[in-house]
Order: sequence, then C-alpha cells, then structure tokens
Amino acid sequence: MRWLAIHCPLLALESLAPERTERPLAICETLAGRQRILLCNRSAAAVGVRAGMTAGAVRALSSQVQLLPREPGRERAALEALAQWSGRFSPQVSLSPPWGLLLEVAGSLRLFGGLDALLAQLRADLAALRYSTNLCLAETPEGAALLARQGCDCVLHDLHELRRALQAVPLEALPLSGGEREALQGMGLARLEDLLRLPRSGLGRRLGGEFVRYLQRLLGELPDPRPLFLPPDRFDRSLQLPAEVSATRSLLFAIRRLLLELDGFLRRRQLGTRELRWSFHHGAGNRSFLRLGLARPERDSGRLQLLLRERLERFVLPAPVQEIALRVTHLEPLAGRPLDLFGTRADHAGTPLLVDRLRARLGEAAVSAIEMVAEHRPERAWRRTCATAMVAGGGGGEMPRLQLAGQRPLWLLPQAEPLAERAGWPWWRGRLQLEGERERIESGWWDDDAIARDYFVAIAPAGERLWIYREIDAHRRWYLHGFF
Amino acid sequence: MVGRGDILPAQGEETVGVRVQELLRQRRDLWRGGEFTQSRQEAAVATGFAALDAHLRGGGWPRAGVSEILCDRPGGALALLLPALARLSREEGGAIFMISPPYIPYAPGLVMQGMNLERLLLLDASDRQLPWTLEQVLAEGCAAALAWPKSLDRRICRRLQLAAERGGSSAFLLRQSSAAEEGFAAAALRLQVATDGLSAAILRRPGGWPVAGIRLQ
Repeated sequence: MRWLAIHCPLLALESLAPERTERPLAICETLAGRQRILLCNRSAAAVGVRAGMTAGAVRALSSQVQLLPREPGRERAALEALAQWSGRFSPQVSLSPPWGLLLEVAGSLRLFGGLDALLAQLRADLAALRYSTNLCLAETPEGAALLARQGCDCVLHDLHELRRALQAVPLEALPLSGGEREALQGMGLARLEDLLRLPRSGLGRRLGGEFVRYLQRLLGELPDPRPLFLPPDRFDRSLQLPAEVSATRSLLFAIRRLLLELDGFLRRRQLGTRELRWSFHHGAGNRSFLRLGLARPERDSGRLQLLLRERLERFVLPAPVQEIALRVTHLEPLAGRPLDLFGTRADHAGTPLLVDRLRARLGEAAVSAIEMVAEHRPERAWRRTCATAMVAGGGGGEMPRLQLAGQRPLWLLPQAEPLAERAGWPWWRGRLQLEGERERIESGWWDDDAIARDYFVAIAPAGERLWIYREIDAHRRWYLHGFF
Repeated sequence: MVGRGDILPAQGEETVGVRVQELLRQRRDLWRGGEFTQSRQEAAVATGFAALDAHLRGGGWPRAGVSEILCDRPGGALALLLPALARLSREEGGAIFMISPPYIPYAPGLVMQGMNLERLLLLDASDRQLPWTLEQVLAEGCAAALAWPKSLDRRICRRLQLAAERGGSSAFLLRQSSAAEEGFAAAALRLQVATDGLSAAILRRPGGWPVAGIRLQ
C-alpha cells in the first residue's frame, strides 16, 4: 500500500478566492469570542499579517487587507470536489479533513507509467486548479497525512524512511490534548522521536490505548483501513469569483477548473454526459443560464473546454458574474469505438465532436438531418430532425420502405413557384415538355390544408428536369415544385 | 480470394468485366484483397457510371480529395453524384454533409435513389462561414461533403484539398459552368456535366488529358 497525502494548507483561503490575486486577503475565524486570523495570502503577509493576530490588529496594520470570515461549508465542498477530481488518479480516495486527501496509488502506477509520471501529472493538474498543496507519499496513510500537514513535500519509499522522517515531528502536531502535551513537555519530550523511545506500555497507561494505536498505525504496525470517499451521483459545484467578471473570456479560468473536476468525477464512474448546465450568478438573486448539449456522451475536459469556448463567443452576459455553477445530472456510459481490422478506414469517431463544434460555431439549429414522413402531401412528406439521434445511432440501419406511385425530385422548393403559361403549355426558360403520366395527389381535407394537384415530370428546352403540378380547381394554374 | 474483374475471360463485350466489378462492390459482406493494398490517397468510390469510372484514377471519385463539378442544372450535378453517395451512405464510415444546399434536399427523392438518410447531415453556413465549415468537416474525416460555393479563391482551394487529404474525405464542389472562367481550377479533378445530365466532359484530371463526350447512362 502506498498512500499519497495531498494537503492544501491554504484551502480556507483558496476555496473562497480561486484566482490568485495581488490583493492582500486574510481569513479570520471566531475563537472564544474574538476574531483571529487563521491564514493569509502572500500579499497580506508582506504587510505584516500573521496567523493568530486579532482582526483589530490587522486593521491597525493596514486598511488594504480584505478580511473574509472562514466558511467551513465551502472548505468541505472544495475538499469533496478535489476528492472527485482525484478520482482520475486512484479509485481509492479518502478524505482527511479539514484540508487533506489520501489516495492509495500503488494500483495506479502502471497506468500512469510510474511514480514520477503520476506525480508530474498530479502537480500539473493541481497547478491548473490553483490550489497550493504539499504532496507526501508514504507507506501508511497516517504517516503521509501527518508529514504533509507538517509541510513536507516528499516521497518515502519504505517504512524506515517514514520512521526517519517522522522523528522530527513536534508534539504539537500529534492528536494530544493540551494537558497531555504539557505533561509530556514537562518530562522533557519535544518531538515524536522522544516519544517513540519510551516503552509502549507506559505510554498506553499515561495517554490511553487509542493514542498508542495511533502511533502503531503511523508506523505501519497496525493495519489502517480507510473509509472510501463515495462521491454523490450528480455533479453540482459552484465557484465564487474573486472579483466580478463581465467578459465571457475571463470566465474561462473558472470554467476550466470546474471542467477538470467534472472530468475526474466522470472518469471514476466510467461515464460521460451529454448535458452541461451552467448558471451565472449576478448578485441580488439574478442568474443567467447556459446549456451545452452534446451529440454523444463526453467527459474529456480539454474537448469540453474547446466546445464551451465556441459557445461562449455567442453568449452575452447580461450583467457581471459573481459566481459560476456547473450542474450535471444525467450520466451516461461512453460509447465505445470499434477498431477496424486493418485500420484502412479513416477514424470517423470524431464526427459527434465535430457536430458539437459546428453547433457551437454556427448555432444549434444549423446542424440538422432529414427524414421521410408518411404523408401524401409532398411538402409534408419530409421533415427536419435534430442530428443527435443520427450521430448516436451510427447509421447503417434498415432502409425505410417507400411506396410512391410517381417519381420524386432530389430538390424541393421551399415554396412552389407559379409558372407562366403560353399557348396552353407551362413555361420555364422555354416551353416545357411533359414526360410520363400525371400523378394525382389529393389529400389533407381533414386539417384545412387540403391539396388537389396533378403532378408531372417536365423537361425544359436545355434539358433540366422539373417537377411541376397543376392545381385542380377553377384556375388550373401551373406551379414549379422541385428539380430532379 | 476473388480476383479482379479484368482477369475474367473477355466475353466479347468489354463491359462484362466492369459489370462483375460492380456486382462485387455491391456485396457488403465481401472483403476484397485489392481494397486493402490500395492506399487511401488513391482509393476511389465508383461513380455508378461505368463509362465515367473508366476515365477516373482508381475507377471513381477520389476518396481523399476535392472534385469540382460544373453543371447548369438547378442544384448542380447532384444527380450525377447520387449513385456514389447512396453507396457511401450504406457503407461503414462517416457522415455525408450537405453544406448550405440551394434548395431543400427532398427526402423521398433521395431515398428513391437509394440514399440512407440516417447518414446525411445538413449544415447551414453563411457564405462567409462556408470555407471554415467545409474545412472542419473535411479535416475531421467524413464520407463526403457537398458544397455549392459561389466564389472560391486559390488559397481556400488549397486548404480544402489539404483538409480532404488529411481527413480522408471526399469533397464535391457543385458549381455553375461560369466558374470555368475563373482562371484557375478549384480542384485536381474538374468535370463539366451537360444540362440534360446525359453526358459529361473531364476538363482536368490528375495523370491524364481532358476527355469529352462521356455518355452517362
């Protein structure tokens, strides 16, 4: 078992302000009735803000520092989102609240091509998510978590290395009550190393069996099964923007972060989605919505981002955005891609993505398919359909049965065009010759759109073949309806 | 292994070999060794007109390349393409795109000609968006893409050719005869089809001289 601890020391800050800003920011927490600084960003530290200060002291230091109250709910949500994202790296993820995660990575090494490659990918993704993290890999989860919390960023290959690294850990970092710690410090103990030298039975009597078992788990002497993080079955995340954003381009960063989380969420389920619902909060309860529909289930954050970028170009924000939320409720299995034996055929699996890209650029309605309708009236014998079904189905199905008496043209005019008549003959760039038999179509008396026409195939002097009809009424007018 | 049509003994009529080829191609369950050795660049899809196939490299429309067909019929020479499109629509492979067709492609008429409509996609693109759309579709890899461009320039033609080769896609530019006066050819293969649709002339083709008076029946 190899456990990777991911500790986010600034999660309380970063869950509230995802983008790194130059503005001094500090998170404060109410302890015993007084507001104290929990942590602050670098710009705040530069003006002298330190953890543990009272809010009053910070205000006395500088009026520039923005104080935000700690929001444990948001921290938890951010941690769970991180846990979902880390599903890309390991199926065994466990939370180590408030600011840490534990991943069992022994099983994932081969997939990622070794530890170095896995860590590199992990670090790159974490950087993209803009979380500050310490990564520590060790044999035991308690050990990895403890060292990561201490600010270590290291890889420990076996229990010996772990034990050596743990020696320097101060007693303050261990789960001891204040009284117990003071008692131990009174005995001249300062670090874990000092504690480990003492006989376990004596420690047990003084600090309780639970603490001894903690030490044993820390050193790998006792097994340490961890409750697995079980993600919810829908993805629903929101992200508060550090400042109001009015240009859609500037939203892309926040969008990318949510898409990466979604990618991990979908990957661990082996699922994809066809619908992403975005909502943009403008403050005062005003929201606007953007729906991204896909031709077939997708999960790759890169491709989704590409599509979204196209879509956003046509999206106008009615007001500046304060918060952005992504919701995915329908999960579907990803369609497999069959391989051709010889690879002689081009890989057409990209078509659905292409359709999405075209839709994003040309508009939802710009991509369509056509199908036949069982109707006698020619203008109703076809209809436009959404292209999605066609792309998902893959085609190659049974040909529909068609029983029509006469010929049908390849092109239909959107509106039948009146034809001139000269000396009793229909005229279109010259006198038209009628070919074959007439086909009488009388239909639609039941829905107020009745037609009564005689259809003919006609040949123009230059050789064009036309589909024309003559109304069966008092006027007997000629119309052009299509071309062959 | 089924041999190529031309090793069959000539039965007096030269067209027998061609007909056998045609019959064999219609069998979807038949795998022919000859198809495997052909590279994609040279692969072709039969036009459905034996007389025309005989003049085209690979025996049909190029599977990875641009063809320009001039015809003054309304909607262009769609009828000439339909046998090939019908076959492509029933084969494994990508979609068939019609980009901004001049009229409504009429579903019953297309089905009568053997098209499988499940594989046909229509795209609405403005004149300005047409080159981008066509290039995207070709580069991604599709069975065929049809467009009715009003004007083209040399640079766009070159890009379309490259995209078609990259994606292994057939592009068909259906244009009026007046396009022949542009001074340059949009594609390596350029055909002129008579308005009555009964004869065709190859104005330009790779590896061959122009041919006139090809009967289409």
